[in-house]
Amino acid sequence: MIFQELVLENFGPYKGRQAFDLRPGESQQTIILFGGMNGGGKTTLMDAIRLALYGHRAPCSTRGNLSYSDFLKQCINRQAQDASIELVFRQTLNNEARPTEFRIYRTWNQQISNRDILRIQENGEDALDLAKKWDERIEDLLPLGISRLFLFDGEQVGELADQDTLPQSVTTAIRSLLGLELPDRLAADLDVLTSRKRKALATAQDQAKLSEIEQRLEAQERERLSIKKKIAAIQPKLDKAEEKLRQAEERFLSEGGKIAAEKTQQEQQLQQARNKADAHRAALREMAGGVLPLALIQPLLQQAEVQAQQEIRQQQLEVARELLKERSENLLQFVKSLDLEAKQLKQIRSFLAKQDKEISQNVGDSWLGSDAETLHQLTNTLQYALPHQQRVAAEELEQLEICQEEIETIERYLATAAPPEMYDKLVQQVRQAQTEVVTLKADREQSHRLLEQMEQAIARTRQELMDYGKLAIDRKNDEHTLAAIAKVQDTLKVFKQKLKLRKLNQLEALVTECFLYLLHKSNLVHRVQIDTETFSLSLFDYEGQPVPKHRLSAGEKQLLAISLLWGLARASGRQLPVAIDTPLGRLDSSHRNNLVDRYFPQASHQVLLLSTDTEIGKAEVKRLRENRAIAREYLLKYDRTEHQTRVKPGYFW
Amino acid sequence: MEPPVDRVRISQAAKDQLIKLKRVTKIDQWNILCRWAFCRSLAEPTPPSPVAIPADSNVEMTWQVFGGEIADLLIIALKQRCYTDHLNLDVETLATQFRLHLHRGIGYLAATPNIKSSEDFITIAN
Repeated sequence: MIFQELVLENFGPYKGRQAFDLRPGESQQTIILFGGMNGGGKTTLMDAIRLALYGHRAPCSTRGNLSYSDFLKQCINRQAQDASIELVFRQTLNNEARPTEFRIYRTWNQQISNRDILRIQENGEDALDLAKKWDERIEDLLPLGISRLFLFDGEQVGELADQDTLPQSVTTAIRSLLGLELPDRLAADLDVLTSRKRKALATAQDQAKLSEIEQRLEAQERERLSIKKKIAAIQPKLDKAEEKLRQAEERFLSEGGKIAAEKTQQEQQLQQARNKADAHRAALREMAGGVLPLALIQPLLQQAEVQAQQEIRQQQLEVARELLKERSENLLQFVKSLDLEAKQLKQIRSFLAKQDKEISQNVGDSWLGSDAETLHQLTNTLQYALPHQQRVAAEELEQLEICQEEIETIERYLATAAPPEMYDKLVQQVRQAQTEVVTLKADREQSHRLLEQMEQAIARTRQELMDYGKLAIDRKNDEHTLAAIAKVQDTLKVFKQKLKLRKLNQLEALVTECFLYLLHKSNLVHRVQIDTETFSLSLFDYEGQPVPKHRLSAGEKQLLAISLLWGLARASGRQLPVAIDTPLGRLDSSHRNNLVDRYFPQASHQVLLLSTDTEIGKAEVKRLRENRAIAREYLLKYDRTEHQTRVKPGYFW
Repeated sequence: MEPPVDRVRISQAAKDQLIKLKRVTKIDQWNILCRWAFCRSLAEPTPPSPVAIPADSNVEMTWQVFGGEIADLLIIALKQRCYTDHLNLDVETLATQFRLHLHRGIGYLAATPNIKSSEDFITIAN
């Protein structure tokens, strides 16, 4: 880093716009020399640089306990309303070919609320983002802690060596300068990270929920398996039941069908036989209305027939008696005429007489009183109708008996044969098999449904787990991180220790070298030791015996402090400008010469010296000029009448 | 021929018996059953006991309905029977004998244990 230009406007005693060119010269011309009497504005310059760089964080000499805004107001020149500081510096960033130029521009006025207005230009262009983050950016370029060791007051530095324990600000600066705070910061960051992760892990509710989900998923998975097993177990049973049903149905079709067919056939035959029997009975009943009852009284009717015949013959004879008599007469006449023998005639006469007698004798009772027609009917009935009817009836009866036998046979068959039970049994078997199949199928269906439900539940749980999965991963990561952090912390401790030792050894060597370089009593001190914790300095002589500090003079102490700073600057490896206020207070001439000759030109690539006329006096400035170490000279002249400082090129002499 | 009665009247007791016969034989005509009953009684060698027979049922029919196609033959049979039984053949006697035979026959038929069907009825005539 190289300061290029500092512009002050109405800042402190500087009224109006005052510009300082701070660029070092070519080759070894590293020193920019400011001369000024006490109260002339030297320290103000230093404050301006600090203020420009760090704003409200700047450790300014006159600030004290003032608030930043009050401090700013106080910094405004009494004859002005607003003030501004501009600081330009160049910095080569990350080994770039050309250095980057930063211009810090702070401005404020009396009506300021609490802050200044900051503007940053990078290579001549406004960088708004940079202005917002400037506090962080400057920490990269020139950390505030370190700045104390580069922009320092020579007199105050002298006290450093005098003190047994260094102030906190200084030890912090040393630490950061040596890069020792990096592991600390890392450790602190790790602690923060640890607590954050711990907190994340401490969300025990989520964790419980997660493990609950995992357990649930496991249980559901188990249940799913058991259902699957159940389904697998049902299948063979179902197959078996279906086979059984098929067989039962087959048997039912073959045997049951036969039985049913037979039964129907038998029943049909039975019905037919019954119908036939009924037909026969109807025929018989029909016949009952006919002549059949007369069969009961056949003998009576036969007797009556005889009587009727007799009666009718008698009637006929009655009717024919005269005719017969006449005919007999005629016959006798005729026979007489035939000239027959008397004997024969007598025979004929006796025959006829006999006939007549027979006829007259035959007359019996005529009580029946039947006529010829009735007789005819009677005879006809007795001889033809009745026997015929009897025959027909007998036939019918016979037929009926046959039918009856048939009916009985069929009924006996139907009664004795056990087909109905067999049939029932077959039907029952089929039904049983069907029921079993249906039950098993229902079982299977239900199991399938359960399985489906379970799978859905598992999917849901999986989703839930997925949602929580990120959490789980985070948790695992966190656990891993925590474990790693512990290890890293241990490593860091070791690293810190080793780094510190290494850096301190380096620093010790450099400080010793610088101190011996600047000190003219080269036999007094052989080695400078720096305490690892407090960074306080101890001195040892050639015999290795400690040299008590009170044996050192005030000047020697200041040199020791400067050596420390110088050593630190070299040990840090940073290319930073050095600004020294009151550089040579309390030093005797030989020490002054040593500093002037050996330290100032080589302290850095840019050295700002703010001196009174007694510190860097005529002789010293002459020596510096002779050594061609000075790049520029400014004289700060305070005008008491106008209460302002004027800047002029050149020095007192 | 002169019928012994113009109308055939049945007693209540005989009617009940006929109802039973009707049920058993499934012959549902009074006249046919009565014909059989009359013949049945005539077939018995002994003459019927002379008892008083009331005509106290609502069953009655004309002689022609009773006798049907064998009405005349039944008159002859009755006369022959009365003759055989040495009874007078006057109208009065014939009428009485008819009623006696008819009712005795109904009683016999109703009391015959073998008659359980139509065919049993016919069988007695063969």
